[in-house]
Parts: sequence; structure tokens; C-alpha cells
Amino acid sequence: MWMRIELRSPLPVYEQIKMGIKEAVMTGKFERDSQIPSIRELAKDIQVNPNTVARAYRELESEGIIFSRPGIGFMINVNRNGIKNRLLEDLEVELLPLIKRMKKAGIQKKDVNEVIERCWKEE
Amino acid sequence: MLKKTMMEMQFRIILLVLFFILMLVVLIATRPFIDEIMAQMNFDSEQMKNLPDFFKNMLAETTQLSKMVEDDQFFLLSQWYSKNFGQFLPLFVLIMVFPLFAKEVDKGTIFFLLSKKNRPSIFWGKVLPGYMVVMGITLFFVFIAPLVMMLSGYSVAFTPQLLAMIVQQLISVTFFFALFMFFSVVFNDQIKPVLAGILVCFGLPFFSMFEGTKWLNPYPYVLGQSVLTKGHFDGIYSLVLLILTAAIVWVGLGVFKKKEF
Amino acid sequence: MLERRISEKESGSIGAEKKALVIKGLDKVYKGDVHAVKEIDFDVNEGEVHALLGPNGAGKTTTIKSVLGFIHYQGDIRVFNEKIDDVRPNVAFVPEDKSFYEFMTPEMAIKVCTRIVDQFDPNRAFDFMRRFSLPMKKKIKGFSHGMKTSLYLSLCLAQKASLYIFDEPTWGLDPIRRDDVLEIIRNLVIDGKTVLYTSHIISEVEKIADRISILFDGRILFSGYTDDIKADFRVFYLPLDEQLPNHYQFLSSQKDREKLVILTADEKTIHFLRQAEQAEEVVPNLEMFFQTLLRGKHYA
Repeated sequence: MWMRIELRSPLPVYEQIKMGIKEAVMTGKFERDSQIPSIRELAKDIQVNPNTVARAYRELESEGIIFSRPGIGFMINVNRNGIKNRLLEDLEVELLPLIKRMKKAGIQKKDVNEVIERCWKEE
Repeated sequence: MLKKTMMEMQFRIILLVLFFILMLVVLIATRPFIDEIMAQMNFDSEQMKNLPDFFKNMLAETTQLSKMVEDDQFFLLSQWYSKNFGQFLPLFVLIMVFPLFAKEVDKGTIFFLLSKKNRPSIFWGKVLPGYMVVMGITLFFVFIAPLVMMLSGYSVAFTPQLLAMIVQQLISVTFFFALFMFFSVVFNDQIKPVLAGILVCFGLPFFSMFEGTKWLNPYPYVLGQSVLTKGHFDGIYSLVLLILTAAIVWVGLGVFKKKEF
Repeated sequence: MLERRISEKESGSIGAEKKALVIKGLDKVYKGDVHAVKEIDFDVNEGEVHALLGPNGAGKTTTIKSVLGFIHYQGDIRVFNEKIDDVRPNVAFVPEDKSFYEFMTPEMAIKVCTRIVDQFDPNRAFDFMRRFSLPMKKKIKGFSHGMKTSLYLSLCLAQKASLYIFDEPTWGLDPIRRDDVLEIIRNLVIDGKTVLYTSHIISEVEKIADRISILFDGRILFSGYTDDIKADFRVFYLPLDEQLPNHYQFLSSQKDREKLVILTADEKTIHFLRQAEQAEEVVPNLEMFFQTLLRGKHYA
């Protein structure tokens, strides 16, 4: 199964689904303009209620990652680079306030880089 | 709902039908035997003292003993309708009807019906089949008794008197059905409707002890005493019972529609 | 978070929310002054699994009995925008009390249902009963709790309804069968049906409920998406003497294991508490959310 859902994860299920779709684009499972599973299909596959899948798709749609073609289904709207940029944007949004705080506390850029380096290795 | 009702009543239907058949067989079998006893009794009154109690009662209460001996028709009217079958009618209806609603509530199966159907359809869906079963059995036995006697070679006919008797018993059964059905609607367990029914069956005769409350005892009507002794149909009592029946059913429906489960 | 909410409303292209059930101001006082349900409001969207959660005696069954018109109540209840009596064939129900006619066998039960129940599919009932491996020719009288539940569920699921209401649908079932039932419930919503059910088993609810309403002492403490709990709510463990400015909002607070426990979804409060020294922040799972909510004092 290309998408795994952890009910016990602190991440909401719809966020996990969104992430799963994005990852599938990154790994090349889906390309731009290729069709992704319907809400029902995916719901059955990953054992999640269709409402939750619908919510994830709705958000992916409003973020411009997928689009719906009436009568056909949902298609990927971006390529690998598009996803990459978006993920990096997300990271930036989350990092910005933290970096600001570090800066305010007088922490050096190279120390922050070191932390990032360490985090990278840990995963 | 008819099939479901029949299934629920299956055991009681078989039991009571067998009971009535036995009663009828015994009655017809004793017909010649009674003749003999009567005949002997005329000569030897000592014999009478040795008879079993129930037999003595049966004979003693019949005012026109000699008439019974000679007249098959009178034997049938007095012994089947006015005694055995007739006396047992209210109790028979009670046994058939008391669980109609009470058992569903007691066992929790009422929720099944409540979630599927609206209240009036549940009410009629139980009352009508129940009535059909009770009426079916009653009709069978009011008509089978004269038929069996005819086939056994006795001179019995469907006279106006016999038909009047039958109509009174059918009206009685209808009334008791409504009353006991009402008890079954009102109470939430199965014991209370039985107790209330027994109270009615065995309590009402006590009203005949006083002249003013005599009319409250329905047994003379149920047993068709006016038909038997005077030969006439009790129209007013019939009408009153039918009106009461309609009123009880109407109130029963109202109670069932408003009831909380 | 706010942004996400707005974007959600704007992109209503997938499944505009129609209501399968709307309850407004439901209030029920039983004879003897038992105030079972106190002016509750909640609704169930079409196509969702909505779980009514709460300890015994919280008012779950009373709520369901009101919805189905088994008892009198104050307030307004609409099922598919109608009074219940007008939509009964569209509503299938498994009561808390799973007793079916004891003198019947499952086979007879199917026959009776085929005659009595609107839109009843006997083949579907057979399929479910086979799946639950029920003895078709044995009288229900001798059935265990779990078998009775399986039987009732089979009969209910064989009714082609739009809204399925289950009062404790896994009562008496062993864990494997329980998961089976949860999967069946999920398949119902995948087929476009709506499910409202009550449970006090939280792990079960976590697996299949889109939305939950938590009932406690006749009131609704929380009604919302299970996913939103993880997205929006945080639990903070703080030292007991922590001073909290009173304009901050939280849903529940309690003192537990010599800690002050705060449950909140308010962004300002979360922001403030994150700054506090010795504060421990946790993303609550449903169990923690439920326990904190029930044990704490409530500020809604």
C-alpha cells in the first residue's frame, strides 16, 4: 500500500492523506495530469471514511495540487518540482517564527545549521 | 403481521383448540350416558347421591331436566353454549390476548416494531390479526358443535334460537377481546394484564348478588340465558357491548399512540 | 488555522453538507424528575459516521429514543428535514436491547422481516448472518449476547435505509467481530449512507467516527470532527501554581497528578501557554481528549 494511515499519530488523518498524495508525486507514482484514486476507492483502500478523504481532496484542490474534472475524477495539477517548492514553502512558514525567536535570543546561524544537520541525520 | 401473530399464538392456539375439542367430545359422548342416568334417577334417587360433584351440579342447575333428556336441541344449547364452551369463553379470550402488546414490551421486541412502523399501523397490525385468530377459533367451535351432533345422528338444527345464541357469544368474544387487549396495551409487564383479566372473569359474577348491579355481570348474556329460557335475543345488551367495544378500542389506540417506551 | 477554515468554506465543491438529522433544543425529563437530556443541539451530516459518546447515563439512549419518537420530548428533531414518522422506511435501527423474538430462528426472522419491513433485502440478511456464522435453524432463545447482536445487526443492515442508527452496535461481540462490524459501518458510508451510533468504547470511535458529540450529564460538552481534535486542540500540563489570565479560553481544566491540565483550542491561549515555563504540550488523542473533558471543569 502506497499510503499508510496512522490513527494514533498526532497528525490528523486528512493531513496524512494530503501528505501521502504529495509524497506519491515526489516518488513519481503520480505524474502531472494523471488521475488519482476516487474518494470511494481511496477510502476503501486505506480504511478511512470517505468524508475524511473528501476533506483532504478539498484542501488539496484549494491548494492547487489537484483539480477535479467532472465525470472523470481528480487529477494531479503539479509536477515534482511544484510539490517540492510547496513543501519547502511549508517548512519556511513553520521555521520562520522559530528562527526569529532564536535570533532574538542571540543564537548564531551556524548553531542553527548544526541543529538542522543533526535533525537530518536522525531521521 | 397476521403470520407473525399466528406464530406468536401458535402454542396457545393448539392448546386451546385441543382443549375445546376434548370438551366437545366428552360432552357428546355423555349424551346417551346422561339419558341413562336420568332414566335411572327417576327410579333410584340414591344413585344421584353417589354421582361425582361436578355431575350433580351440572344436572341440578338445569331446571328442565326432563326436557334435556328428550330434546337434543335443548341439550346442545344448555350444555355447550350455556355451560362448557360458553363459560370458558372469557378465559379463552384472556389467554389468547393478554400478551398481545405486553409481551413485546416485556421482552423488548417492541422497539423492533416501533422503529419500522408508525404507531397506528403497529396497533392495527396486532389488533386485527389477533381478533381474526380469536374470532376464527370461536366461529369454528360455535358451528362445529351442532354439526358434530347432527353427524352423530341427533336431531339438531340451526334454529333462530341457536343463531341468536351464537351471535351473542360472538359479540361477547369481541367485547372481551377489546377489554383484554386494552389491559395488554396499558401494562408494561405480562402479569398485570393477566391479573386484571382474571379479576374481570371471576369478579364480575359477584355483581349479580345485588339487584341494582346485576346488569354488570355479563355472564347471563354470554351464556345466552334469555335465549335459553325465553327464546329471545338480548338486543340492548348486545348494542351496549358493541358500543363499549368501540370505545375501548378507540381509547386503547389513543393510549398506544401516546405511550412512552 | 483560521485560514484553513476559510478556505474550507470557499471550496465547497466536494459534497455540500446536507443534514441527515438536526436536533434543536432537545430536552427530556422523565417521570420522577429525572432530567436525562438538557436542551441539546447537534446535527448529523449526510454521509458521515457520527458517534454519540459518553458514560452510562449521560443521555445517549434517551437522545436516540427521542429521534425515533419512542418517547415524548421538548424541542425539535428533523430527520432528512422531515418528522420521523414520514421517513421511517429510510431509517434502520438497532436498539440497546438486542432481543428479537425468541421463539424464532434466524431463518424465520428473515421471513418475518421480509413481510414487515419496508425495503428489506432477505439475501443481504442471509449474507450478513453467514458472515457472522449464525446457526440459521437454531432458536434465538439459546443465543449468546454476541449472537443476538449479530442477528439484530444483520436484520438492520438488510434494510435499504439512508440513515442507520445503532445503539451500542458492538455489545457482546468479541474483538474480531467488533472490527468486522466497524468495517461494515465504514462500508455503509462509502456507499453514501449516514450512520449515527452510540458507544462508550473510545478506541472504536476513533477508528470510524467522522464526528463525535460527547454527552455528559445530559449536556453536549463537545461536538466536532475527530480530525479537528488533533488539528486544533492541545493539552498543556502546567505546575499547579501557574497563574492563568482569565481572558484566555479553554474548554476544560483539571488538577491531576499534581499538575494543572488545560485543554484548549484557542490560538491565543495556546500561544500564551507555549511561552510558560515548565509547560508540557501534548497533541491529545481521542482518549486523552475525552478523559480531560470529562474529568475537568468546563468552560464553553
